[in-house]
Amino acid sequence: MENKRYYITDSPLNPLELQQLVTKPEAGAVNCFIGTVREFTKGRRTLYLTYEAYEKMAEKKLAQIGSEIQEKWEETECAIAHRTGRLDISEAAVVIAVSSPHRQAAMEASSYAIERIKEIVPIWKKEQWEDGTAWIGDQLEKNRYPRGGPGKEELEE
Amino acid sequence: MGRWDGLDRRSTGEESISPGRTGKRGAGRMKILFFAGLKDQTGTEEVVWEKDEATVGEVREYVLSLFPHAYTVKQAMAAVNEEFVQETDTVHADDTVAFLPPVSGG
Repeated sequence: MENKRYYITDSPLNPLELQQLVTKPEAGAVNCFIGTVREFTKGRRTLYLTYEAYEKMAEKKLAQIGSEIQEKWEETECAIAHRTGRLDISEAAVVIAVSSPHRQAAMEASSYAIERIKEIVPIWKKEQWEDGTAWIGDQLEKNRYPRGGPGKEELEE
Repeated sequence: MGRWDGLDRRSTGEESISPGRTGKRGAGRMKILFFAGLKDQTGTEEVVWEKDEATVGEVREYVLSLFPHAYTVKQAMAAVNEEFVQETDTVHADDTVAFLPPVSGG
């Protein structure tokens, strides 16, 4: 696990560890993005989240994002870790570290990485609210499955 | 009686030689995986389909025939051996097919 740059883990994430993976003398910047568990979404209170991953494929896809970044922004180094299992409020769900000779590339590349994660990496989050649970289908919540299954309307479609 | 004993023994012997590994037609198996909300709907994370070859679309139809209420499989992306695939791509024996509901990592 020590030198692995793209991984899924059920242990707490350590941003410093990822920062160290991408640091090198040629770098003039390291941008570290940390995605954390938010308590309130549109007024609704989250108690905790549960993340599930198709681990083998998720690690491959994180590595693919890293390759895409190195192609788009020259001389960057990248490391990404995503956590699974139960996460409480404020815990880190994802850490993205990118280093580059100049700051702009590192900042743009981490932003690119988080968008790509939400598109192609097989990881799912389940919200635990005070009054129920739901798998979140996408970040715009266009495709969520209340009560973990299809509703009446969906079955009748 | 003795005659039937002999036949029974022979057929038992044949079965134990190599179930599912003879390379004969009909001996193949593909593994099908479900995740998140789709796993809740099917009530299982994995099924095996004894089939040598099928398109991704046919695998999807097979899943729906097994689990008619697994609504999410219709909108799920498909992956074969951890790579995204198209509906008309072919799945072979020993492949692993995964149906992935819209992702929500990050």
